[in-house]
This record gives sequence, structure tokens and C-alpha cells, in this order.
Amino acid sequence: MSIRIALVEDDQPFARTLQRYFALTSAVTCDVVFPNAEEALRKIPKLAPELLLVDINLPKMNGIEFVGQIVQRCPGMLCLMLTMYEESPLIFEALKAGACGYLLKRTPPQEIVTAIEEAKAGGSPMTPQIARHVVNFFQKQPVPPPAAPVEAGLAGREVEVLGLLAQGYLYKEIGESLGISTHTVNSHIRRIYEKLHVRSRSQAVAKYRGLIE
Amino acid sequence: MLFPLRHLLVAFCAFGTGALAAEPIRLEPVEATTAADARFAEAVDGVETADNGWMVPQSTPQSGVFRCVPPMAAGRVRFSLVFGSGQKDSCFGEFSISVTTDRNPSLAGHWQLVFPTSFSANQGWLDRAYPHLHFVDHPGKTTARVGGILPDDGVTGIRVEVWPSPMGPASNAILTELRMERMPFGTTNIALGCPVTASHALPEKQYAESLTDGLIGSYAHPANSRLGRDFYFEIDLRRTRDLDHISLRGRAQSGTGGQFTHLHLQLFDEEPESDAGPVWEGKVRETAPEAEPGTAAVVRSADGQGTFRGRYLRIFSTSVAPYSPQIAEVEVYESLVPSGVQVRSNDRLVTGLPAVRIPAGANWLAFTLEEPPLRDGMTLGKRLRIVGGPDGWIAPNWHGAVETRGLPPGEYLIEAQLRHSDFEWNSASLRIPLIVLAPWWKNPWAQLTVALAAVASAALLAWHIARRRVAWQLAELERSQELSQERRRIARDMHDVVGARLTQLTVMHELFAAQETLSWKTRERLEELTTTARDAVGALDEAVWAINPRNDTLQNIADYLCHAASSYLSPLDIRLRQHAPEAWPEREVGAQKRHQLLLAFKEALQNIVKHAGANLVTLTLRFEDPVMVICLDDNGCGLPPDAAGPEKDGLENMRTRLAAVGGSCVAQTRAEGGTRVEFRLPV
Repeated sequence: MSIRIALVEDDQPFARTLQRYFALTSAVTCDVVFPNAEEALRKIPKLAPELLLVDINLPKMNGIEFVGQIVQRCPGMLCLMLTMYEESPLIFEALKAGACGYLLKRTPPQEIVTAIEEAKAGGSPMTPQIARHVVNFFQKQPVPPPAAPVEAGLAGREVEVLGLLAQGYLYKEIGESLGISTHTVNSHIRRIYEKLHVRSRSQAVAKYRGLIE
Repeated sequence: MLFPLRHLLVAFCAFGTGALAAEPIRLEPVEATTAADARFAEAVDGVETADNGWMVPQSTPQSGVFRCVPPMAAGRVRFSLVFGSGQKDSCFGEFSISVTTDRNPSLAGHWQLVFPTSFSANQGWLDRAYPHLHFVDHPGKTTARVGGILPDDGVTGIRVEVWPSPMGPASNAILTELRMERMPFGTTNIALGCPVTASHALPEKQYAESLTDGLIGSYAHPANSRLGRDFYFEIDLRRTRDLDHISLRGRAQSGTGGQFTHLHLQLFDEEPESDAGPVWEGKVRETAPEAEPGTAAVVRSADGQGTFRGRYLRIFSTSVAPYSPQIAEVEVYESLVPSGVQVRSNDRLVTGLPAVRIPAGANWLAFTLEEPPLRDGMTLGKRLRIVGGPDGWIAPNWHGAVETRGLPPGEYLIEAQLRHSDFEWNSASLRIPLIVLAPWWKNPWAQLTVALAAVASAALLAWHIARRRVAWQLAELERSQELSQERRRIARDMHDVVGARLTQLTVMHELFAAQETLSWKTRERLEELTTTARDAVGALDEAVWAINPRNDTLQNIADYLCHAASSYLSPLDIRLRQHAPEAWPEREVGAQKRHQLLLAFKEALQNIVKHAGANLVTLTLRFEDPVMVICLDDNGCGLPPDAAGPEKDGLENMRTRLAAVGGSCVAQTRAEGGTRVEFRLPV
């Protein structure tokens, strides 16, 4: 069963090449390429793909904003960011908005496919740099905003996982170190992403209400 | 003979320099005691033929009254009596002339005798028979001239009286014509012509009026040689006046000085015979002077006690010399001061009372003195001085102005005086404060204002400069922002366009490789191509990362170094441990520093991969304000004892790169094994 994905990418030559590559594989099916976020927002809810590959740099509405809106409209939608180069702050913004991972465009295509498969399987990639951003983010707001759900804070195990991750430990190593499976590590990280998303959303609401600066 | 001439000259000078043109006075006949057929009116009809004239019987006193048209002011007068009939004994034997100030002159009016100060006749001999005149002989034709002084203004008429004379003819006299001329006063001597009385008899042919007749050739003294201080002369000044000085002149003859000493003067407001005492009393010439006889003794207020004023002046002497006092002339001068002063500063009239205010910067001042109206248009000498100024008294120039240089700012006093016709300056003077204003910029308020204005303009200037500087800085900032935007745009373009195409190339490789028909060798070449393309993207990524201004924070540098290390090492199965702070302070790190650091860092990674043979690398990042410290530890073989060749070059390269941006690089073997490379980059 191949994974149905959609591509949001304004660089048409690259998008087509990638599409053709996906056509070669049986693992991923990419029928549509949206050249901008607006069109994608309109059509994706009806199309209901399983996963979205989203370029960060899009004309008009950028990829980060797009992710924020699409996960609102289609809860649980998996979004992997495609970025030209390593730019942690941008990537972190995208993750806060609801993306579940990111890929550099120059990643070899078979690795892209692997990443899609992993994401579909509940995997959550996270680099040490991003892990540190996450730690920093939760440390900056130690007290959850009143409107936030109780589980918005990080659990003890999640903190441990993040700490090891930030030091460059691999998922396997983390699992060994904590005596848990790699799968559990993954779900911890998936959980962390969700909390990050929730926290950042409630923070945005609180900010809107003027509760915090 | 010498003295009288000189003193006559002095007397003349005492009359001053006023215009002395004689002015004929028109006379009209009013009434006479003579009979109706005496042709009284012909005396003043202007006709001087032999058969024309007023016929006057001389057996009894006769009078004729004439009206002066218009009334006459005080002054000297000269009467001319023309006897032109040619008949024997036709001139007056004895006659006198009186004047009146009655509104309508009449025979019954109030008359005052005119003291003849001079008299002469062109034929025959005219002599004084006080208080009358008479002809000693009787020429057939003659013209008698009689001079006198009218001390009062408003003379409306004259009276000619003819007296029977025991020696004279008893027949009718015929006055062909009577003329009267007024000679203006040329003096400020108010005593001239005033009535004088003596307490005791005078010698024959001496008259008290000599003291005020303007002639110093005539004099008077007591007839009795031993009267001492009982004898006095008394002059009636006609009204009370404030006086400046009194000049007394003795007889102009040598050897008479003793009778002109120890003179006592008393001034009275009221008749001295009344109970009121003198208002002023003084003594002069207490000692017989060495000076020549005939010189004037000038008496001023300070020579006695009291107020120097009055109507009656009484003079007596306590001299032991017989027949004292012997006095030729008494002159009395009123106190006169200029009535005003006009001030011009740089030819502009300056007004202002009570003080004259001279504008600042005036370099020339001119003063014109005004004098009170004087009889007969007489003008007096004037002088002026500025009390507090550098000069003394200054006389007016030829057009009557006193000129002086400009004065320094300050307060002064203008003092101006008038000179009497006897060349004596008045003691009193006109005094007007004179203020020379300081220039406006010497005024404290002006100075304050100027200071404030200076401060304000300095502030304005400073503000302006600051604004300009801010504007310049803003422009600079805009320029640098423009530059950084330009850099960002180039970076994005390179990356998005070139990078995307190269990335596309790597994907295209996979598409080709999927074709089963490709030979092994071709696949290998294709793989090479892809790797090259991917390397190119990586190199581009690094270059763009360094120049993209968005990455100038410590956070981004840390992230990127970690990313670079992990993406370099992980494909080689070298584990990477990272110790880095979650948050970094906000510091700006320039493109040059980032680029050099990144290149040195990659070099260090390469060294580890190539030479260390390590399988674990620990990257430690920290900030020791203001230095960013990057530590790369490996668990490899450490540095060779004497590093040489490429490895040494690599270390040298790293040092050079860090030194170029003010940092340092130290590589050393760790005690627990492996190598430590430490970069220190000040930010």
C-alpha cells in the first residue's frame, strides 16, 4: 500500500523531478503538486492525502503559516518540511506550527522516501539542535498559560529523552540508555512535538488575549 | 588825563554790545498851560522853519504835555530841543523834562523828573541847575540835546516845563521842534537810571543820581566830611529782585582810594525806614586796595549774610577818610540763567526732561543755550561745561553752539551760565542732568538675552548637527540594511535557483539509475556526478550560510556547527556528542568571522576523519563573554609528537583563519587520549 502524499512546492522543475522519482517507487504516490499555499489550502481537505511535503519558502503565504492552518483544518495531518538549507529557527517555527519533521532538499531521494515512511509509521525525527530549541522553548515558559491543557508541560521521561537527544545520542542509544524501545523513544518525541504544537498554539491564543507578552 | 579816558572806555563797555540804533519816538501834543494861540502843536509838527513853533511865555512857569505813541519801554532817551526862530532870547532860560506812566498823560498827572545824564547845545552854553537845565547865554539859534534814562517800561508821555529864571530873559521863547529818540539799553545793569537818594546833603553840583547815570566821570560824596557811617546812599531798584552781583566804582582819580573803602551794603525788601531789617548785609574793601583807583569792586552773595535780593540798596562807609563814601557808579545785576538748552547728538535733536538722554555711540555733541528775553534784543555771553566730563568751561562757537566730543556712557550734569554786560559771569547756572546711554549690548538684560540667544542657537546648532548625524547614521544603517538585504537576496537566489537545480540533478540521477539498461560503468559515472552535485550543494550551502545576514546570531552559528559536524561525521559512523547551551545571548557575528570559523571548523573535522582514527567526537560550545569557545574532542590517536606535513598545514591554516578575525586556535593531545582542538572567537 503506497502512501499518498501531496507536494506543496513552487519550484516546478524540482517538484516534477521529485514527482517522477516517486513514480518510480511503489512506496509513495504523489499525484498533485501545489505551486502555492493558497491553492493547497483550498484543495487538500477534499483530497485528503496522508502526508504533505511542504517547502518553507513559498510565494505569498509561507510554508510555516500554511502548516499552521492546514493542521487546524485537517487535524492529524502529517507535514514534513522541505527546506533548502539548515536554518534552525525557521525549522523550529515550522515544528511549532505543527510539522512533524523536516528534510533538506538535497537529501538523497530514497532517504526522503524513507523519511516519509517513518513519519507515516509514527516516527518523529529530531536533531540535537531542534531538541535544544525545544528545551529552551519549554524553559522559557515554565508556567503553562492558564488556557493550556494540563498535559502541555513535558513529562519527566520526555525531558530525559530530549536531554539525550540534544547531546547527539541516536534513538537507539537513547532507548538503550533509558531501557525503552526505539519505538517508545519515537512516540515520546511525537508527544513532544504535539505538546510543542499545543503549547505554541495556546501561547498564541494567550498572546491574542493579552495574557502574556 | 589817562585814567578818565580808560574809564570812559570801561563805562562804554559796561553797556554791552547790544544794538545801539536810535529810535525816534512819535510825540503828539496833549495840552499846555500856554494860551490857545501859542501854537503848542507846532512843537511836534515836524516843521523846523523859523516861523513855526510853540510860543512859551517865560514870565511864569509853563508846561506842555506830549503823548508818546506808542508807549515806550525803559531805556536811554535823548531829547532834542530845536530853537530855530533866530530871534533874540528865543531859547528856554531854564527848563526840565519829566515822564509819566499814567494811561492818559495830563498836566495834573503823576510825573517823574528825568535826570539829565548828558546835555549839550550846538550854540551857546547849557548847564545844569539841578534839577533843571538852563542856558548860561542865549544864542539866537540853537539845538539842545539832553540825555536821560527811563528806568521803567510803559512811558506814555513827557512833560516839558519852562521856568522863569532870575538871570534869564522874560520874553517869549519859541520851541521850533521837540524830538525824542530812544537809545536801547546795552547793559544788564538794572540800577541804571534808578532813583538815588542821599541821607545828607551833597556838595554843590553833585547829585545822587550820578551813581546810576551810567557815567563814571560823575560821582558823589557827602558834603560834610565827618558824617561817617551816618551818611548813606540809597538806590531804589523799583522792585524786589534776585541779584547776582553789585559792582561799585570809585572816583576815577588817584588819591581818592581811602573814600572808597570799608563800604557796607544792605539790601532791603521794604522801605529801610520801616522796622524790617536788611535781607542781606555785607562789607567790601575792608582794606584800601593796591589796585588802581576807579576799578570796580564786585560784590556777590558770598560777601555777606542773608539772601542776596531786595529792592532797596543802601551803601555807607566806615572808612576814617573824610567825605566817605565817594562813589561814581553803582551797578546792580540780576541773577540770570539760560532758559534752556538744546542738545544735538550727531546732528540729531535730543529731547527729554528732566534729564537729557544721549543715545549710545554718539561721537559728537552740540549744545545751544537759550537765554531769557532781554531788553532790546540784547544777547549775552554764554558758556557751558559738562560736570564729570573731561573738559572745563566751553564757549560757543561762531554760530552759537557749544560742541564737544562724545562721552563715555555715564551720568553727567550740564551746567550753563550767562555773562552780564560787565563781563561778570552769573554765579547761578542752569543745571540739567545728562545721561549718556550705554550701548544696548552693555545693558545687563541685553547681555542676558544675547547669552540666552547664544545658548539657544548653540543648542539649535547642536540639535541640528545631532539630527544630521542621526540622519547620517540612519542613512548609513539603511545603506547597510540595503547591503544586507542585497546579500540576503543574492544568497537566496544562489541557493534557491542554483541550489535547487543542483538538487534536482541529484534526484535526476536516481531517475537515470532506475533504468535497467545502464551499464555498471555508466552507473558508476552517474554516481560520481551525483556526488559532485551534492558536494556542490553542500559547498554552496556553506558559502550562502556565511553570507546570509540572517545567520549572524550565536544561536545560528551554534546550530550550524552542530549540523555541519553531524552531517559530516554521521555518514562515517563517527558518533557525535554535543554539549551546547539551549539559549545564547544576542550577539551579532559578522559574515567574515562566520566564514573563517566555519572553514576552520570543517578543517578540524577533516583532520579528525583523516588522521585521528576516532569513533567518538564531542563538540562542546560555550560562551565566555565575549568569547565563543568551540571545543572538538576526539578519542583518536592524538597529535603526533612532531606534527608535520598536511596535518601541520591544517593546524596552521586553522590558526591563520582564526587570527584573521581576532580569534585563536589551540590543538593539543588530551591526557585521556585523543586530540582537543579549541577555537576561541571573540564576538
